[in-house]
Amino acid sequence: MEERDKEKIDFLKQDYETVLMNEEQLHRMRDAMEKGREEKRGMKKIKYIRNTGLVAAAALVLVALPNTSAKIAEAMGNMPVFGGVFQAVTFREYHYEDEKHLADVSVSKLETVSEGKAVEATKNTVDEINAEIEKYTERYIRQFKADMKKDGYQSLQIRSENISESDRYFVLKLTAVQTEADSYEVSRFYTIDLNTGKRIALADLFAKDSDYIGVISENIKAQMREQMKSSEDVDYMIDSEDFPEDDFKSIKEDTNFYVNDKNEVVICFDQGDVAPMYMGSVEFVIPSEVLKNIRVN
Amino acid sequence: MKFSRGKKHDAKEEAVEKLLCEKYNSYYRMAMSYVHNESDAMDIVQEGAYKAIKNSSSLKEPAFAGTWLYRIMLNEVYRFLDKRKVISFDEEAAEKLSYEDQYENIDLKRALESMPAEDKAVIELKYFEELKLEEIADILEENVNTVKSRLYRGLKKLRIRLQEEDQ
Repeated sequence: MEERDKEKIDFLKQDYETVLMNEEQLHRMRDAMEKGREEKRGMKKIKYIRNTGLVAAAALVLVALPNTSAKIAEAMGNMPVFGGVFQAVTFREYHYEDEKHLADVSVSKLETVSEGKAVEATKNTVDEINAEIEKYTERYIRQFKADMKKDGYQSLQIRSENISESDRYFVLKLTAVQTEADSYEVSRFYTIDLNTGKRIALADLFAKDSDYIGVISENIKAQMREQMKSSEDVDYMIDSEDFPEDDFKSIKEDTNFYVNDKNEVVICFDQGDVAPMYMGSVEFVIPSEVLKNIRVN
Repeated sequence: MKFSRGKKHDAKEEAVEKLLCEKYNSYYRMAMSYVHNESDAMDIVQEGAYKAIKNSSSLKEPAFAGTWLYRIMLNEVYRFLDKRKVISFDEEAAEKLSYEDQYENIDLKRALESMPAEDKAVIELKYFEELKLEEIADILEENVNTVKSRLYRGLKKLRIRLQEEDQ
């Protein structure tokens, strides 16, 4: 190539390289990577809904085992105090409204207020969970802000609430409702064992080597059949003739769950997982009787 | 503990992630050179990054991540262009560009911009991203000769003559 032609290429290259992504765009790319990572690991499913305006609820369920002794913390005033161990402190408020866009976000984080066992480990776990809730919330907000630039109606609502509380378990549910052409649904939960201060899994509620997955799955199938028999409005993906491969077969180790205030195990499914989309998110309360021989915690 | 997110070593995903974090500007520039619009270019990079991570296990070798990522990003660009049906290419207009010296640089930019998408990709990958013809052929899923002829065609529009030693 002649010198003059090399200069042309250099000029074009320099011009090309003036284009740079900014900080906000880099954030958005990282969010997209995170979304890909989660889907790859099967932790989150994205359901594309063809009809516009459908609402999907994203539930983030947090289960904690509080210190049984402490009710003192409830006397701490207006601050909502959960299970005597945690209090909720609002850490993110975001509100926006115009003709086509509506965002209403008010999310709390947990703070430990009493001295339970394994205080340090519990604090670390709570910090970790808070960081994750914050990450989710910020991601939804960033996505909302980015989507506002596009045409069409968008809305986002995120709330956290204490849905169940007993002497032993504490459940916080974070719900994100997104309305747009495509919507998706997330469910996650965190279980804290205050004795160790660490997160626990569904398996930790049952005796080692017990077939809790089989027992729970069979009970869910029985409940599905029962409900479908008693109501025509109810439909689950089970015993289907057309698509037997999509039928619900079994829960997994990381299927969502929480423990309700009657100390029953509740199994939760995302919208579209085990039932048609119109059924929304579904939950099955597993009767204690069914689990009595295998449950240890 | 079963629930903890055990980080399995995943060389393919790591390779893809590393490249995305290092070379995001390259993908963004490439997208911008086709769509000329920040928000659309960003949609392309986001969608490409999402798909690349999600499907990283389909990558044959971590070493192929570089060309693989360019291919994913370019496919997103093409998908976008198809959607918008804007692959408008006015060959005559590109030929007619005047080359008076004072306007030369503007004309040069215009000549590159008005190139058909495939030719532009070859020029960009070869001279801006400094890839080998074999790598470009791999990205575009074409044979090397096709890539070469696109390169000549593209350079001709830029009024650049290629000599033997450049190949």
